[in-house]
Amino acid sequence: MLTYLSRRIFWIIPVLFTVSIITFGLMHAVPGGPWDSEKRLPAAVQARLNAEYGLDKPIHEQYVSWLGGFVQGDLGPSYRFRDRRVNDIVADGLPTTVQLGVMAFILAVLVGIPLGIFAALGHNRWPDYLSTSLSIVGIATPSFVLAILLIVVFSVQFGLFPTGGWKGPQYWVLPTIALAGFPIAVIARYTRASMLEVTRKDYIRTAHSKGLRNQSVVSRHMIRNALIPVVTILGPTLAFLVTGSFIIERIFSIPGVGQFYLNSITTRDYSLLMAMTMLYAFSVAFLNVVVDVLYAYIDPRIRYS
Amino acid sequence: MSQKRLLALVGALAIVASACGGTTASAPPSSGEPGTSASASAEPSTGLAAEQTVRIALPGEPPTLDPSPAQDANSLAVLRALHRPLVYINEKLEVVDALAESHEISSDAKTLTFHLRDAKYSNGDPIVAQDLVYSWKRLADPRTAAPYSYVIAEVEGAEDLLAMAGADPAPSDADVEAALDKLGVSAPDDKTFVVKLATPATYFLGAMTLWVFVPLQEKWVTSPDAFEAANYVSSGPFMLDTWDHNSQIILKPNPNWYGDVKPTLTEITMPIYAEPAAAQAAYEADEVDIIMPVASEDVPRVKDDPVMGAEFVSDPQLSITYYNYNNGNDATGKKKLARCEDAKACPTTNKNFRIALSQAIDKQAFINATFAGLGQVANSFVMPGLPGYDESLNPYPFDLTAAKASMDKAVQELGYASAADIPPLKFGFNTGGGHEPRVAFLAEAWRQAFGLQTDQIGSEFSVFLTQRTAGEYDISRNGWGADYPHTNNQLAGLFTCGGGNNDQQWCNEEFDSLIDQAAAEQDLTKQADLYKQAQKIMVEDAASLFLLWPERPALVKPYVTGLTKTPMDSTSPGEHFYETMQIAEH
Amino acid sequence: MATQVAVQGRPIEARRGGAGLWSDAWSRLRKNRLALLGLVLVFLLLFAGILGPILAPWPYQVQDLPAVFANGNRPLHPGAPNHLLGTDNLGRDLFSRLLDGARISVSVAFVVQFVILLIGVPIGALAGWFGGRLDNLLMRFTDVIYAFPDLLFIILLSVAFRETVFGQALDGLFLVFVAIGITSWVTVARLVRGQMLSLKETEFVEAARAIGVSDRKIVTKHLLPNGIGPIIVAVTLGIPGAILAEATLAYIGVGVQPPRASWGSLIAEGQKYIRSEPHLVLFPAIFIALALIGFTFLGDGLRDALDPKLKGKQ
Repeated sequence: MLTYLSRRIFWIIPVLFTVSIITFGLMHAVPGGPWDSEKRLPAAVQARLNAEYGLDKPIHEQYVSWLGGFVQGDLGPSYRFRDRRVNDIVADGLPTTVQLGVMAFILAVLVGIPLGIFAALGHNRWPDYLSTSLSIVGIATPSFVLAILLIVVFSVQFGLFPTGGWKGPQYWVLPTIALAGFPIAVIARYTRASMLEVTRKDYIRTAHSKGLRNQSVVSRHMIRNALIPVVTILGPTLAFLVTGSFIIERIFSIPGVGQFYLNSITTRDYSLLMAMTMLYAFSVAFLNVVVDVLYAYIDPRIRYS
Repeated sequence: MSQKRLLALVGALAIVASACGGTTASAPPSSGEPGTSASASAEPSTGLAAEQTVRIALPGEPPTLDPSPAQDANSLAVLRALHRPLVYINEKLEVVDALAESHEISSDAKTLTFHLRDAKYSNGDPIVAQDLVYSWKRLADPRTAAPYSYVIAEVEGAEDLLAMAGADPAPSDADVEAALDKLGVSAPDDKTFVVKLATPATYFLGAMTLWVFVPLQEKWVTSPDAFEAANYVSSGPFMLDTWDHNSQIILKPNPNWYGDVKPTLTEITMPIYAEPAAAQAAYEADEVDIIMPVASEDVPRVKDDPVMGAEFVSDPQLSITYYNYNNGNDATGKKKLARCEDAKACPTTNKNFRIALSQAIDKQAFINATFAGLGQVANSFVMPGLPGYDESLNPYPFDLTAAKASMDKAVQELGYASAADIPPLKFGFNTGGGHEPRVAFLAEAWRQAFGLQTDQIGSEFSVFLTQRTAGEYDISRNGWGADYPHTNNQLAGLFTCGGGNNDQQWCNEEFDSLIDQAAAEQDLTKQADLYKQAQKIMVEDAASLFLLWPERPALVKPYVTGLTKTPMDSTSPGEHFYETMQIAEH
Repeated sequence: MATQVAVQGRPIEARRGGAGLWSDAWSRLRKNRLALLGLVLVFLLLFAGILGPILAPWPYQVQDLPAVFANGNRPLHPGAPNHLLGTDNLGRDLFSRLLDGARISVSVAFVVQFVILLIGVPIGALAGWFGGRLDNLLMRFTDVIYAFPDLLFIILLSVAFRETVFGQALDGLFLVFVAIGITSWVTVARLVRGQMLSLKETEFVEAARAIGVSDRKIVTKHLLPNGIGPIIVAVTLGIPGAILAEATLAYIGVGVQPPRASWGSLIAEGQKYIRSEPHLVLFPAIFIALALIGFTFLGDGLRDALDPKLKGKQ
């Protein structure tokens, strides 16, 4: 197990490396640059800025110097926020984004799994229909629509929560719900599906035929085994939450790093873009490993050489 | 199944119904900052509120609060309160003394002498003329790479410095220092600042109201983390108390503010709302007191609302929405663009074609449909209120018959059988700026009038800019806001041959010479006349499609008073004079 | 030809190769009410997509401005004369634009999944069949794709190639679909690989090898047809994700070129009017939901129908 784990973790490095090269290349292949503005900067000023930030060097040199800084933990200066370094920007916003993502994840699990179990147990009766309807609404409603609706109803209309910001627990509620809406629906559906699949499996029938009471059959066998595929989607769900939060952060004016995920592309803030990409790639790759480990833990049938 | 669908539908409808039913800010309990209640008092407030704090929505994080390289509107919104230059505008957009208590202009209009008043920075140090020498040199210094460095071009020695910026190989520090010494600014003593201009530039005093010309202490600016709140030194009515990046900015009065009007406000909080809908919701939930602009999609609803309707304000701006025609010249202005060598490939290079396009647009309908009716129809460029504004200049009013006649001529000249045969015009715009309806309106108007096809090409902002500059579009959206209230800022660089902001690839030598003459003309009446002549040439050549001088709608809580509004406000009415803002009892 | 044998009162048809699998699946699908609903919805979508322009009361780009001006410069609400579901702020009929959007959603369904199959199936098949180093290499490759930020890739790809002929195809959406496809094939590849791994050890493969059938023939003629069930399911269930991805991209501003509108871009535009004219968001959202329901139920039904463990069940 340990060798498997260390091998998987080792492989994260070349993956990150490849991602960084592709991103760097693609980023510079796109037309436009960090100094673009409606009122054009004088060409001389642009040339000067390019020289100052090393944008006039050949691209492989730029990559090497970025890489050199990266491995030492220096993410470079921001191209857009010229007085700040990317390290500071990320340090300011990352805890907030992670907090939002984790809270949404916990909510998604706490609501989604019971919802799915509820649906599976009431298969083809009203609990199933209700749960599936909610799932459909949750999946079909884009997060930005959900966010605006939550603000309009609960903040403006009823004044229960603030419309935006991140200054205390009351600010956490609506963004967490908005971000968790889609994952709740997906988790509920997958839980329901795998629960149903498990009920059909032979060992459940065996347990039933042995005369075990329904409840213990449910709790011991079904839930445990049904969780396996659910763990599979928890991985990508968590990755989505950590960085897919940019829409939510933007609408709720939350000072996290998620907003930079998109902004850095539009403003061509190269170093911030690279930092965001590395962050995302690392989160996904790492979480993949965690999920595989969890898999092995939960499912005794799986053993890694 | 139908049960399931019904449930889903009902669920969705329920959510929407609660959003529909009553959008009035019907006194919900306020959440957020204490001290500001939701209900507006019925009788007019007589006195000032005990708490003089205001919350103004800021549409984005300022990229910098360093005055020299600043250019972003969000930076400026804050900088105006933190620093003031020698001369500043008043609410009538006249240039008046600010840091300077008096000034003289020499008879040849090339030497300006300013006498500083007794003033201190927020850190207690006196403001001395040497600080101005330092900040002006810093602006011109190629190593600062300030986007607005070009405004100093008229000063003696500035041209050389500006040219150094793009030089390859880059000049050595010694060279730069030597050139800086030759810059025409000097401080004979602590309270006198002298500027020597290379050419008599009548608009230079107007340009001096810009934020880049404020005094800066060298020891402050060069210290580490100078622009964070803890270290920030200001010379204006307010100080930078807090800067929570991407979250909010808080300003407090500067105890050493030298101005005649001292701030009544004890605190200005500027929360950052990147999403306009979020700012709107915050206003309706009483979390913010001023938002500007109000999204045009919300304007009709806001105006009809019993509470918000009374709080809605919309004032003219020194800005213009105009769409460029590609006139076919390259970046120097002297040669034709490669792709427009054959006029057939670039129909907009034909004057009658441009005239036809302009005559086919009902500009008032355009404003009503896509700007919520806010704004004044523009048939020329220079905005009302500036010298050179020409109300009577309207050579191509909306007239479909005349448009068809012009198009027929154009089509014949270009060698097409009809307008419908012309390959689709490339109509460029940037996505994410709310321009789709405007582009669609124009495209559809031309399609209906002439059967003319257009490809509406929406690109990401940077890509759009690159394409527009390269002359890749036949028609493209554009807009311009005055940097300072002088006509030179509105015409030079935008319509001069090879001008830095000339996005319609237009070039006319006569126009250029008139602009140069006007800049040097000291008689203001004659100057205005020269600008009018120049503009007439440009407008009669249908260089671009002028659409409207927009208004900037805002929502202001009724208890916010003492606003000194100008047509250059962009994030709050009265943003040039936060020191006069007050909170009435409520 | 079929030998009818009665076992416990239920007739069983002898299987004949693949034909039996499919007809068996079809009969099971038919009995699944939800799946049928899904099938109906999918057909409606295809119908709207193909015949949309003919059925639409207005061309999608025509602006009924007089009606909007008469309404105080406000978009028309549903139930207005001539406009069944209302209009947007330029007077463009919402119903007609929704029908046009159906064409785009149908394109999403096909282009994206085609790209996914084109890339995912060969890679998964190769990795699963050959195993060993090739498998390892390909799986690391999929790790890279998986770790790559999708949104970034899609935006950068769209922006980088916008000006080429690919960028203009399908009003700018072709590029978006290809990009979505490129970032989404990993699941199908893993699925195919899994299928390959489990099936290649089965007896009939050993038998085929023993007779001397070539590897390629084994893969294409035996494994793929038998393993195709889960692939079909994955493809069907992947379509809702692609439709939603397009909606999110429209919100950001990457997507269909105006004046065309996809359901996603209609939602993105409409959400600005959600306080006063919610129909501009509601109806596109309903249409998307119906498409999602359709593909999801159909996919679920296909999975149940093709699941060999359910043979003989009701």
